[in-house]
Formats: sequence, C-alpha cells, structure tokens
Amino acid sequence: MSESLEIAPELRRQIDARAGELLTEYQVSQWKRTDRMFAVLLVLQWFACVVVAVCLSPRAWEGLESHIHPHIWAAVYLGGLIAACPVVLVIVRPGETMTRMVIAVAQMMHSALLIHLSGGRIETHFHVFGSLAFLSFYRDWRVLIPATIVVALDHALRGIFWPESVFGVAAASHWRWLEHAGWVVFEDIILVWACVRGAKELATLASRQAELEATNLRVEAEIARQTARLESVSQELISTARRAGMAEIATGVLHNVGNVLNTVNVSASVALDKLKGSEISSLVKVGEMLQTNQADLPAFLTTDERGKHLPAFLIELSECLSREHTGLVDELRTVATGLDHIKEIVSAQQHHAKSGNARIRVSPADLFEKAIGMDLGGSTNENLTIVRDFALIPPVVMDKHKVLQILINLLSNAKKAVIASSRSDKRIELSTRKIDSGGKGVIRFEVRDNGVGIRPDHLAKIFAHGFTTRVEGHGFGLHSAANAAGEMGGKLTVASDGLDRGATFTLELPLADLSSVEQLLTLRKETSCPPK
Amino acid sequence: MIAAWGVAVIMGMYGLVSYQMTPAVLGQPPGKQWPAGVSFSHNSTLPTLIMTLHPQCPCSRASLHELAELMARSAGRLDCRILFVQPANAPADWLDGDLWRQAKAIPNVTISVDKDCRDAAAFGASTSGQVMVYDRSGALRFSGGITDGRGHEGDNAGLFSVLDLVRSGKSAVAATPVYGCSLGVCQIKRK
Repeated sequence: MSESLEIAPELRRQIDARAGELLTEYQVSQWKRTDRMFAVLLVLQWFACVVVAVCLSPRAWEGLESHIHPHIWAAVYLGGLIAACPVVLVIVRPGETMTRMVIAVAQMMHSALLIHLSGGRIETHFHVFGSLAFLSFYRDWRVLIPATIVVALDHALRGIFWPESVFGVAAASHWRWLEHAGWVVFEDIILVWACVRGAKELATLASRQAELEATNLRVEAEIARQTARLESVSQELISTARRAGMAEIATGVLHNVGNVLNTVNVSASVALDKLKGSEISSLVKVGEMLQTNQADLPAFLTTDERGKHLPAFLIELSECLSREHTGLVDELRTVATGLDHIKEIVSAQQHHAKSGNARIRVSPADLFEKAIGMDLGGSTNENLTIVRDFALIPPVVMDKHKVLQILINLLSNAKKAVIASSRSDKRIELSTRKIDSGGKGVIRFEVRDNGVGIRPDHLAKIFAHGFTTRVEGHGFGLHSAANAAGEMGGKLTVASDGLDRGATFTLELPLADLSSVEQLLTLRKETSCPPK
Repeated sequence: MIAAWGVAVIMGMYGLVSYQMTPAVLGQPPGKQWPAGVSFSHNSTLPTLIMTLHPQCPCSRASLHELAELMARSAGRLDCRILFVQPANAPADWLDGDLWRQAKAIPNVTISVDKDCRDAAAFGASTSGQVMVYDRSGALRFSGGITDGRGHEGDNAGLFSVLDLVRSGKSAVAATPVYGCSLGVCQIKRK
C-alpha cells in the first residue's frame, strides 16, 4: 500500500507539468468567461446610459423651442464607442491579456460617462468601485492597473482644469486627486490580494486535479491488475470448488452407499451364519445311512432302531430346512434390496448430475418404511422398540432418493444413539405429518430417540461439515442431509434436552405446487406405466 | 485599432466635458437696485434670492438641487422665490414636469409663475437657473449660477458666494457662470 503512495520523481515531473497545463486551462477559461460577462455588461451599460440620458435629459430648450439633448447623442455614440472595441476583442481575441486591459479601460470610461449623464450624482461614483470589484473576477491583478490609471488620470486632469466637477470645491488642492485615487488604490490593495489568493487557489486546484488524474490512472492500472489477478484466482477457485464439489459428492455417495452396505453386510453375515449352521449336513448323514442299508432297506426301516426313527427325523428335518430357507430368502432379499438401493443411489447421483432432481409421487409412510427396512431391518438388538405414528397422507411429489437418504441417515444415527445408551428401554419413534406453514403445505418427518442425546453447545454445529460426536464418525451424514433438505426447499432441524435425554430430528419439506405445468409434466412422465 | 479607439473615446469625453463646462449667456440685471416693474417687492428683513427657471430645462434640475442645499444651509435667513417663466403662447402642460415638483418640495420657497416672462425680463435673466440675490435694502449682491457645470450637482462657487452673503452679508464673488437652457422668449422680450 505504501508503495502506491510514493511518487517517483519522473511521475512528480509529469504531475507538475500537467498541473501547469491545467492552470493555464483554468485561467484562460476564467478569463474567457469573464470577458463574456463584461461584453454583456458593457452592452447593458451602453443601453443603461441611453436610458439614463433619455429619462434625465431628453431635450435641451431655448424658450419654446427644443432639440434632442446632447447627452442623448453622447450616450448613443460615445457609449457605443466605449463598448464597441472591447466587445469586438471579446469576440475575436477572447482570453487575451490585451482584451481584458481594454475592457478595464472601457469599464472605467463607462463609469465616467454615467457620472456625467447623471449630473455628477455622488451615488453614480459607486460605479467605479463596483467596476473594480467586477474586474477582480479575472483573478488577474494586472487588470486593476489600467482601470486605476484611468480613474487617477481623470481626477488629476479634472482636478487641475475643472476641480468643481470632481471634488465639488472650486478651490480644491491640485493634489486632492491623490486622496480620491487613494481610495481606489485602497480597494485595489484588497482586490489584488483577493486576485493573488484566487490565482493561488486556482494553482492548488490544478495541482490537485493533476494529482487526482495521476492517482486515477494508477488506480485504474491497479484495478486492471487486480481484476486480472482476481480473474485468475476466480478460475482457480472455480476449479478448486469443482474438485471439492466432486469430492463432496463422492463422499456423499460413499456415505450413503456405506450405510446401505452396512445393512447388506449384516444380512449377508446372518445368511452366512445360517448356512454354516444349516441342518443340510443331517440330510447328508441320512443319505449315507440309507446308502449303507440299501441292500435291505425295509428291514432297516422296520427293525433297526435308527431306521424306525428316520421318517420322523426326515419330517422334522424338512421343517427345519424350510425355516432355514425362509430365513435365507429374507436375508438375501434384504441384500438384494440394499444392492438395489446402492444402484438407486448411484443412479440418482447420475440423474442429479444430469437433471438436478428426480421428483416422483411417493407416500411419506412408504418412504419411512423403506428406510426402516434398509437401516433397522438387520438390527439384532432385541431391546430396540420402533414406534410408528404415520398420518394418513396421500402420495406427494418429492425427490424420493434424497428424502430416503436423509431418512436413512437419521435412522442410522438414532439407532447408534440408542445402542450407545445404557438404558434398557431403547426406543425410536417415527412420525409423519402434513402441516400448514404460512399457508403452504409441508410434510414433516420426525425421528425421535431416547438415546445418548446431544450437548447444548453441540446443537448449533451438529450440521456443520466434519462435526461428529462419534469416534468412528466422519461428520458428513447430517451435513449432507441438511444440504439435501435445503436443496429441496425444506429444512432439517434438531432438538435435544441434553446428554442422555434423547434427540429429535425433524425434516420439513414443502408440498409441491401441482399447478406448475412443469411439475404436472414431470408427474405424468413419472406415473406413466413403463413398457413391458 | 485599440489606439484609435482610445483616441476617439478621449475626444468624445473631451467633447462631453466641454459641453458641460461651457456656460450659457449670463443675463445682466438692469441696475444695482431692485428693478422697477417687478410684480413683487424684495424682503426688507432678509436677503431676497430670485431664481428664474425654464420649467422644461433638464440642466436646471442640478440648480434646484443646489438651491435646496442652499436653503437648508441658510436656516431660514434667506427669502427665496422661484420664477417659472411661462411664455404667452406656451402649451397647457408647460409647467407640468419634474422641476415644478422638485421646486415644490423645497421648504420655505415661494414659487410663482412668471406669465409672459415679465418679471424675468425685468431682472434681465436670460438663462434657466440664473440666481440674483438682493440685500435688505434692495441692492443687487450676486448674479449667476449655483452649479459648476451644465446639470452638474455639487458644491460650487455660486453656492458658496450666496451662503457667504447670507451668513456675513458680504461675498468675494459677485457673479458666476450660469449653466442651463436659454429662456428664449424672455430674452427677446427684454430686448
């Protein structure tokens, strides 16, 4: 920053040169502007002289005879003559030194003419002082010199040859003109000071303007440099954000897939255990026994002690194998469902990447059931009670996969919370409601557990990325769930009375506006039967 | 061009000043005593001032201004009479003008209309603004103008002379130039 405030000597020279140019511009502009003002003023004064002459001295008389008063001719011709030269100079040579010098002389001559035409009225003499003040508008003290010389000369000459006309006293001193000129000089001193000060202010203004221009140039260059840099950084940020986004998406997908894989893994383990402990080996032993006694099978079945129990054993074995089969089918169905959901997660992500949403008409209760099946179905904790309180809500349009992922996350967390709790009455309550919020319909999913609860100071950051209270946690599930809720126009909130007091997660999603043509088309597309 | 302009302006100003400085013909009273044939008599206790005026003369505005100044400075020690000359064939609005109103505004002044210029002729006045001052005995003590130029206001020798007469009964100057319009017909009548 300090670097930008320093002015290099070369730049200083350029600024000074520019300040000089600007000062000249300002001065010439000021002089031209004042020239124009005086051109107008001189013409107006000319008319004023004529008006004064016509009003005060219209005619000169000799008895009954009269003729136009010489003052009128003086006003017309002498007044016009006085104004003519400076007005022409203003037109042909505006802003030049000679022009304003002539204007100064003409202005003073107009004062003299007016004084004569008004009959020497003392009040008219104020025109002299007013004119000097007007001349100071030039901010060039030199114009006061010819004006003062005209006044001094007029008084000096008339003081010598016609003292009464200027001093009102016949026997006035020949040096009394100095007293009158002295008052003019007195005003001159003030006006010269004002002119010099005005010129200095103009120079200061020019200097500041030059510095401002230079600063503007530097600032513009700096802005251009910073803009280019910003653009580069922006590109980097976009690239980084894209990578981060991809990583986040991957994390989300993996997290959701991980949740489902956990269920699949449990079901697969259960199926494996069932297969390992299967009674199929007993059937093999029965086969070996029958093969050994194949020669006299009737005798074996009727006389041998083992043979006599064989039919009953086979019946019992078949029932046992049937139960095993059913159990294996259930577990494999869970595995299949889990794999199907993994497929849906991947598919949903691909769909999301393409279109941004996958809205279909689903029942909130069905979604909860599906999530329960995915997340709690494999639970082996016999003490866990799941309470369902699903309101009768007709199917509504929503992004099924996102909602399902959120619910799976919430259920997974609730399950972990109650399992970690030392209480024996582990309980998860699930509810769905359709409520009215500000005149709009909202679907509310609620997951309430009586698990380990959440510390009050953790509530505010529970949805923050990377925040987790579990050792094995990643701090991503709730974060992505809250983001997903936000993407759907809804919100995910949490409430807890503290540690060991359980927690309640509430997901609220706005009901889709079915009047939207786009959504109707989406619905029609989603609800139409696929070709068989 | 500028030099020519300067010379022309100086010449114009010189012409204007010359016009204003050129006095009119000063009419000479017929004698040193109050003239015969005047329609009124002089004041026997105060000096009497007579001013003849052409009612349309713009230059006399300054004379009336100075007269007002004189009356103010005299403080009631001067009997003043203004004679507005009115030729026999003057138009009806002859007297109607600024000078009449200006004169009426001066305190302690007698204004009279000099029909057919009889009184002005008796005083030998020929120029508007001419002033004659007679003392208590009716002797002429001053004759001339009380302005220092044509239509030019300001202190002047005539004014100071009359004031000296009023204050001390004597004056160093008995006559001054008069600046104003010619009374014309009155002059002819006098001849």
